[in-house]
Amino acid sequence: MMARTMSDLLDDNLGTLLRRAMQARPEAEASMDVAAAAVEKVRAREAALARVARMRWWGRMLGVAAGLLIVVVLGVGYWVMPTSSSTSDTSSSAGSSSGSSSDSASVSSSSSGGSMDAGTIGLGVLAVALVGVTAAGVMGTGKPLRVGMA
Amino acid sequence: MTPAVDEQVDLTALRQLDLDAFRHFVATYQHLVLGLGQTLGLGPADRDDLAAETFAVAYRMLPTFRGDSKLSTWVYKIAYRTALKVRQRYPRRGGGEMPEVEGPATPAGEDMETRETTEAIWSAVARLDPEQAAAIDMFYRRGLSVEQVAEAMAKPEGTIKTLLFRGRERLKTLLGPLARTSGRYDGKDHERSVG
Repeated sequence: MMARTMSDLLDDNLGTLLRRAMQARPEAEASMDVAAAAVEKVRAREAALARVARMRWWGRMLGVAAGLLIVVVLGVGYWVMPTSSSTSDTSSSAGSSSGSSSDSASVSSSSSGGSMDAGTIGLGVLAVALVGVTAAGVMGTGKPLRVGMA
Repeated sequence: MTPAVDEQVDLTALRQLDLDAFRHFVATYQHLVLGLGQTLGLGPADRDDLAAETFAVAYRMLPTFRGDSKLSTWVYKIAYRTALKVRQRYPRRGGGEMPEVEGPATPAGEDMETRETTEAIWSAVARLDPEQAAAIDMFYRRGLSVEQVAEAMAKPEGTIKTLLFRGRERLKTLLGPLARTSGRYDGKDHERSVG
């Protein structure tokens, strides 16, 4: 009969001794109320999550407000700009020339042509800004909040 | 001695996060978590922290617990993951002297040699890789099957067998000096009888 190796013998003994030693180990006692500490941790985490969510909401609202402000400024600029340019054109033409009717007509027509271009550009910018603000708001609200541990 | 694990916990009340049911749940299973921390060589403060964090996670996840596994295995699963994080705070123990085993000594009535051997085993287990130590805690101390250990540690059964084998091999090395002095591990008598 082939002799068992020393390693086998050690392994057999070790398994038995390990089981005996591990099961004989006295249980560790907690030095606090574990349930209360766990609930306290959960509440603290929930409060932190609520704070983060509140901050995100206000951040989002600030972004939307800033976007709206840009839209309003652009809108006001659009309505004010053609009038002021037309006024300056008229006053400059009135001051420089003796007032022939053909000159006035050409200034007036070129002024209204410039207003049409600015209007198109202004409307385009307004539309893009509105789409941008709306998209920012929608994407912001759709983003999941991932905070917590494994 | 290890107390038996009571699976008679009111799951319905637990899922509704009833505080009394939760207290009973913690009282039933906290020894598993604290024991795991003890096996991994955590100090008392870290064991408390481990238990509080484990049950905090359990509290949040209880409403979604489906009961596919035993509650004790589920608790072990959370405790194991949390314990690895807590253990990361500790410097790696590769060699050197064995750590002191704190806490209550072995039960009275055991002879000095047995007590020394037992305490040396506890210390040596605490110096193992955390995964090996956790597998040894679940398998040898709590008597979980390899399948249950695999579920708790979220690893295949083959990996658990390997962890247990490598853990025992490492323990043989760590307990070498003890084997030479005590004769308990030398197996000479047994070798003569089977040779």
